[in-house]
Amino acid sequence: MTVKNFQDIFLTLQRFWADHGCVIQQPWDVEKGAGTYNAATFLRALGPEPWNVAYVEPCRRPTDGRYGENPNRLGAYYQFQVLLKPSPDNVLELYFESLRELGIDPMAHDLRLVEDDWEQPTLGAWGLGWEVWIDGMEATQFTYFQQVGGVELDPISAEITYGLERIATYLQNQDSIFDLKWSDDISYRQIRHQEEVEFSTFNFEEADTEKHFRWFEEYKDQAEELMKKELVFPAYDFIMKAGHAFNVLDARSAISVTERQKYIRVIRGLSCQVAEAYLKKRQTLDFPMLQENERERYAKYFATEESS
Amino acid sequence: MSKTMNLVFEVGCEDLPARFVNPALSSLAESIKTGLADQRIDVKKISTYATPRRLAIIADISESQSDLSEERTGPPAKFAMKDGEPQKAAIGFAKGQGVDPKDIYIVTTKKGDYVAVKVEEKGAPSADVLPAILESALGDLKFPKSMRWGSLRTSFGRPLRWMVAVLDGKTLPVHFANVDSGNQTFGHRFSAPNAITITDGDQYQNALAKADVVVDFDERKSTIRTLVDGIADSKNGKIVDDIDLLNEVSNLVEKPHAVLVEYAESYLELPDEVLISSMRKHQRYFAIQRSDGTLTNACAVVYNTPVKDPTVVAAGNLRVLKARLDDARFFWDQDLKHGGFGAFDERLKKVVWIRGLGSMFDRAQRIANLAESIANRLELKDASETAHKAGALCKSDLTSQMVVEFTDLQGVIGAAYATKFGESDAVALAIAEQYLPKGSNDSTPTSDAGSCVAIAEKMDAIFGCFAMGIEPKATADPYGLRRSTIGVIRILQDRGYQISIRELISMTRDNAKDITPTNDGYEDKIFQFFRARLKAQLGSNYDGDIIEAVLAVGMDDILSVSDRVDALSKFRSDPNFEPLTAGFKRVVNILRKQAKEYADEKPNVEVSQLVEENEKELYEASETAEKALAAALENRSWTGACEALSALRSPVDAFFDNIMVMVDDPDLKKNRLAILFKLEALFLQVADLSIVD
Repeated sequence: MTVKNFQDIFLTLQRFWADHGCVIQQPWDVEKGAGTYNAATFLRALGPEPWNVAYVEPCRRPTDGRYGENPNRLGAYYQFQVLLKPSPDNVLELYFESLRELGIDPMAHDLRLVEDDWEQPTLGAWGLGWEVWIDGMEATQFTYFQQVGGVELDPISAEITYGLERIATYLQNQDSIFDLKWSDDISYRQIRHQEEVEFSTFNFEEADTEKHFRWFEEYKDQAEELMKKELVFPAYDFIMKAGHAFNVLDARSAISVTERQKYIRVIRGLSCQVAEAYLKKRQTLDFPMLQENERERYAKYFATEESS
Repeated sequence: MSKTMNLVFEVGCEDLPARFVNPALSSLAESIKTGLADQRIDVKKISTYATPRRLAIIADISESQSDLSEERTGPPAKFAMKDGEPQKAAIGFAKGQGVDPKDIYIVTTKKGDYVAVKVEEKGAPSADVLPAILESALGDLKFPKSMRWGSLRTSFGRPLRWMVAVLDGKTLPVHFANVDSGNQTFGHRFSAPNAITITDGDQYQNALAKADVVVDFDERKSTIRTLVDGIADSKNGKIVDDIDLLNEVSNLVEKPHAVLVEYAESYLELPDEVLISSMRKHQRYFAIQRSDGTLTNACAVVYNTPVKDPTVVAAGNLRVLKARLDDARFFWDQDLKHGGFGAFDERLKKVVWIRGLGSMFDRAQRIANLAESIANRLELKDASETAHKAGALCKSDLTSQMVVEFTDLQGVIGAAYATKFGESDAVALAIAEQYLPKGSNDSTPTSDAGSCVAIAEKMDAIFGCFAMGIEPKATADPYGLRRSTIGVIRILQDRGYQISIRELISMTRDNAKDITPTNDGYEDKIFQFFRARLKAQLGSNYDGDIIEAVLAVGMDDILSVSDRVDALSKFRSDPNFEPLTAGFKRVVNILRKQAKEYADEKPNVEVSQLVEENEKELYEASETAEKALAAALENRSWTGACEALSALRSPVDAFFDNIMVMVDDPDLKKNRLAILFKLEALFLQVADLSIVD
């Protein structure tokens, strides 16, 4: 299909990655700053089970809001996220093939892989990879996850995160994200502008800091209680909620520099705990998605605590 | 040497970070060379090539290992042999070396008789030995950061995707990660993706050149230089020199191309540093300046793919740059809306620097007062008001949106805003210079006010941290105190400021009334820290014992320390130096034993009591030397001072050859000691030569 408007991009990418063996999942319905936070990435990257997934993820970054006035900065935007576990040998070829599908001809543009070491302190996660540049524009974040939730990964996943708005401004030759065509008839502005203005006002001016501080504590407590009960996914939801409360407080400038580090440490601690809880739970479930012939290769995941 | 064979070894990876490429190539080459030498394979010629996607070694090597014929010694004969028969230890040794025990013989060494065997080994064909050498070289390769991929347990800089290993046209079986070697490489990822068969090393460079890959780093680098210079020339300008950027970009492409990108002139209202940072740091563009050093609204963009239409690449890059500059201008406008530093300072009051040391605003106030005091103390009258003003504003930009975005431009942004807010050029300059020197190659401030603020900014940090017990560790110096300390020393040296470190420390302490130290003895620790830095600074050019000898007599006159070390180092090659040092050591040894007796008061020489010719001579020589030394020091000529001391060599030698100091006559003894005390005092004005090895 010809990629003309914004929605064509994610429709095309979904089709492409589905054709290459990915499960097409959906956004995780809790506020988050990046597609990595979706449990389909954060939790599924852990442990031995193979997993190939793709989905669109709406991301909220309260501090990046600009009241809809800046053509390139938004408080909320969309990523298209792909996770391939283990990373296949031809992962870069597949990625460049997906760009061709979008109509980006590698002989018409300068496509480059520029070193970018990715780290997300609140997730206890890091990886190595690149920013992919299209004529100097960062279009994708490409990462081989090495650690998630403080846990060394084995096997390694490749995470491909497309910046949808950026790619769209490129394809549609627009200077402003708001001028993008979402569909043939509706613009990005018509759908998202009011939202940007209102959320900027909320995040920077109106968010009740007292409530958010309280919620942060309550979400944290709830997450901890749920983890004790080995309810991994619900616990993880509340960690994300705590993370978002923190992001709002940060945008409201309600958190000092030293406190900021403290909050990041708390969320990171929760992320590391939930990662461990997830692995433990999957172990009790006998890692159901792992092929029988792979069990020996990943024997370490089956070791009980006493024997390890 | 046996017949040579040609080896081509290429490792293909997903794009290595630019900074990994050259170090990885040289360490791979080194490790292969070592492996070949260990395996007795001669290397006639070796060339190395690398791009972000490949590391390649091409070598002419001997076709087989040289034969081994080596004597190896084992345990002492007295334990291992009995009646000429090998015992258990000798037999075990021989077997371990793969030799029949009946071939054991005895060698006589300085340490006695030992069991020995001759190990003979026919050299194997290189082709048999090479795979293991190449595999272990890959396994040993270290990167600044390594990663794993897929379900492999191997680590490497980036995933390894192919290997070429060809010896005289034949593929060598090499295995690493999940890759088996072959004889096929690949050209440019997009313009020449098909396999290219490699048969020998001579063909390698050309075959890849045809496939849009320039395998030689220096060639890419010089091409880039030519390309970007040409673009700058077309705008009647020249490239802003940036060797680090050139080196980085040379390893960001397999084959360089370049295109001109021009942005709207209106962005030139932003400070040059902001424009350069936007172009360089994020986008790796080469900025272009006019002959007068001001920036043009143009830059050169280097790219990797031989695209059909370079204007498409230029347009895309321009859009990105424009977005970045728009962002910068947004922050610039937002910050300038405040019309002054007041709003910044309100925020600064809430920024905690280090617990116990108040806010950043408090720190700026301390810097202002200290900078002014330093200016007054150094009698830099014109600078003191400027220094105070600049000090008070020096941290304000930390809360500006611009510095939050362009952190490395702190100070520079402050200076730009100071100008916009109506401060004088001198104040702006001093704000900009506060962080100088930023590293060992960076220059020190150019103005007195800037120097005073820079010293105050650093002293306040050093003092504050030590007072709170935050001392740099061998591996951790989170507040950059080493750099700050060296910075203070360098500013004093470069500006010729006469002030002692101890005085600076106490001025800083007196100025920081709002700080309650929690650490004991911090002042002396700071002093020792300075001493260590000074020693390290000089240590790269001078002998350690000379530096110690100079520092032993004090570093209050910090400006003279390096001059004294330099003069003394030159003096060291003078024939008088060794004997004079020996003489001085004798002086010191004798006096050390008398230290208690004369602790309170040193004796004076009674000229009338001088008896022997040699003691009269030494006394006269010391008088002459004293005057010469005073004259030299008046002119701060340490070479002159060394010459003055040098003249004492023969009289000192003659004195010790012919005169007994510790005689029974107490008056005579006292008078001779008095001469020695006088000599000691003269020497200690320059250095304590008794420390010299």
